[in-house]
Amino acid sequence: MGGVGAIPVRIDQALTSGLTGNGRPVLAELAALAERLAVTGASGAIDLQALPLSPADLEWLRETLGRGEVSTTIEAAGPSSIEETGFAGVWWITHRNASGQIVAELIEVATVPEIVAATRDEVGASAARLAAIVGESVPSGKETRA
Amino acid sequence: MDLLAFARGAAMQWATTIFVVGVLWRLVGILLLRTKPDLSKPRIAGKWKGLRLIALRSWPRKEFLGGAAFTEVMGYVFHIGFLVALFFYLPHILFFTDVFRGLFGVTFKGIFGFAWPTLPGGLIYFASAVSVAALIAVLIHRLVNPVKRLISNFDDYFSWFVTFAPIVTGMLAYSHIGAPYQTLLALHLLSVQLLMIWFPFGKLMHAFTIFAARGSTGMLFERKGATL
Amino acid sequence: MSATRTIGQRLAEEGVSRRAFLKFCTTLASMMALPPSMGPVMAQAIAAKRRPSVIWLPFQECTGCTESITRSGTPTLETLIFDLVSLDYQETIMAAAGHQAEGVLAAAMKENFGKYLLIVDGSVPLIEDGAYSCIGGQSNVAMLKEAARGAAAIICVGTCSSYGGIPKADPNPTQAVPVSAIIKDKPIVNIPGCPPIPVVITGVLAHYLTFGNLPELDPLGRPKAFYGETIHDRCYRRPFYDQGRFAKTFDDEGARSGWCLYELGCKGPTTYNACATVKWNSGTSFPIQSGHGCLGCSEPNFWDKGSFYRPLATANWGNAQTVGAAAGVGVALGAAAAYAARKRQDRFVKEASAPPPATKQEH
Repeated sequence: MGGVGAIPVRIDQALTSGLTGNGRPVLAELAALAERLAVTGASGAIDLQALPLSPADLEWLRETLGRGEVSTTIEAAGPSSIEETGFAGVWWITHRNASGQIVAELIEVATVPEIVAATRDEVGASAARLAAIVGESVPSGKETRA
Repeated sequence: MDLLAFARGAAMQWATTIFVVGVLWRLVGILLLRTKPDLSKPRIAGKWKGLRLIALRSWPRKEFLGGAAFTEVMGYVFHIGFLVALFFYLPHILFFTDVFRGLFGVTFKGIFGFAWPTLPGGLIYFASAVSVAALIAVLIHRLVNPVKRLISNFDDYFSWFVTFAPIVTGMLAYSHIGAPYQTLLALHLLSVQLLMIWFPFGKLMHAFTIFAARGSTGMLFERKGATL
Repeated sequence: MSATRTIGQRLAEEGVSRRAFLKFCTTLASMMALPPSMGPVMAQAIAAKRRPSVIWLPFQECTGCTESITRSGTPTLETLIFDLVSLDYQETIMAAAGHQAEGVLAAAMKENFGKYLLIVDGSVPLIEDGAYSCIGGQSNVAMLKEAARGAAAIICVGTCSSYGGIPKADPNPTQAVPVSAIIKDKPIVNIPGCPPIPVVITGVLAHYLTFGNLPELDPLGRPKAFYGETIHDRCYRRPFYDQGRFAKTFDDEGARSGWCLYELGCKGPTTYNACATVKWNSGTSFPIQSGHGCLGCSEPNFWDKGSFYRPLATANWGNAQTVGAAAGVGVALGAAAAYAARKRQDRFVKEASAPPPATKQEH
């Protein structure tokens, strides 16, 4: 008898894929969020994992939204990709853990996705650290003459 | 202990026991009765041909069809829908094959070579809906028709109810309507157990007794030379 | 003991950046069916708080729940639990032992009286005054009552503390009961499962830190966000169930094709848990995906509900012996009834054919 690995295992994918048509309402919601952002400046997001979307639906959404100019990767507890779609202000965000598995997938409607931007506090801390480095490397008041 | 565990446990065991005791009690009690010896000479020799009345009584003679047609047709609609739902729905088949294996020590497939066929759940649901509609139709007829209403008793109405409840609760459980699934499933099982407990003691026994009743009447008529 | 640093500061020291924490909170919000905008809200709210004191008491348990939580290597949502709270007492992983540990427990309860979260795993045995499970000479039931007095809330981790679990299985020789059978005056959250999914604990703690209260619970005390749906409702093999494609044995073609495991005893339809969506080991797999039916381990008395391998559709109708005995009784009753009927018949026949009573002669 062969080993366990010799037993063929197939998962019938055909039954679990296929367009359901649930992608279209997502577009409608994105339109409403974009309108709100344009008028009031308030950003919003849609959690793709919370919706009944098949893999085919997600493909369709990806194709319909297309790709924009910006592509970002964040390395924080695993890689996260933030990609601007063909529509300005509409960002496709995929969060993965350290093993590469998708832990969250959402579409954010914002000028810049919240996770990308640095906070004022962080910038303040950077200023202090930069100033410290500058303070160290500046020579004493005397200039040496050749 | 929650309701579903009770319905799948103690309740099922008691209902099965009462059902078996009751059915055999009544059947044996009837079959061991003595008929008065008929001392006349039989008109026709060979009374066993009278057994064909069991099949012949499946449809009324045309003289009686006028009044009986409605209940006859509705009766068939109910019975066929009910039996389709009972015997061709997978979870029911799993239950019965488990009983079969428990009683006989071998699987059904092991003896007969094929697995009992199943029908899609949607079709079962449709058959159940049709049988429920037929049940409601005959109940209304029983209440509206003055003769039927006059002669109807507790057995008639209660037997109707214990037949109605399992089908409706089964449909509710299938469609997950009205309560959490565990509760619906428990109610379905409890209603089936109520049916099993009432079965031997009311007119539902016709499921077994029609064969003896029609058969003995047929043999009697045959002996007398009456037309079956 | 309890950190005076905020959670955000502690996370930074642990190497969990603001963005990593925001990513965690976004994932948690998604798992808890909160709107995605809650991710940043949670991150901000939690980072600003100080870690609450948590006392973890292990009772009559197998330590599987602790194992389930501590087994992750890399920083994950599971290990985040330890960053969100100040775990002041946990016997399996704390360094102190013996009297020192007892001192730690007493000090933690005193310092944070009324504010600490009490996490319990394991059932509580009651027989013989709780002698069957003691820590440092104190019975679990006494320890629980003492610790509950100063607790803000009690989180029951695992089916044992939530509903009694395996120790409570028939015949329950130690008279094991769940925490909720003993403590009646404190809010209790049940996180059942054998073991429970660790990220559920994270979610409950995150909710508590963000909103200051416990999440919405179902009638069995479980957070609806994770226990609101059955395994069956979210199972990826559901299309096979709907199509009537079932594995009949564990190694047949159906099993290898990943078909539904209903006929092999899967209790998914009556089990509420997040296994089918959140899964285990950072979303790696769950029992059904690995080819074994659901045991129903997050439901009360799952151990006493019949075989794991008989389908849900079967029931305990008895066995050949009980049915045979019932048949015997039925036949006997029927024979007795027929006998009585025949005797009555004979009596009527005799009465009918008896000579008429002699009339008095009138002379």
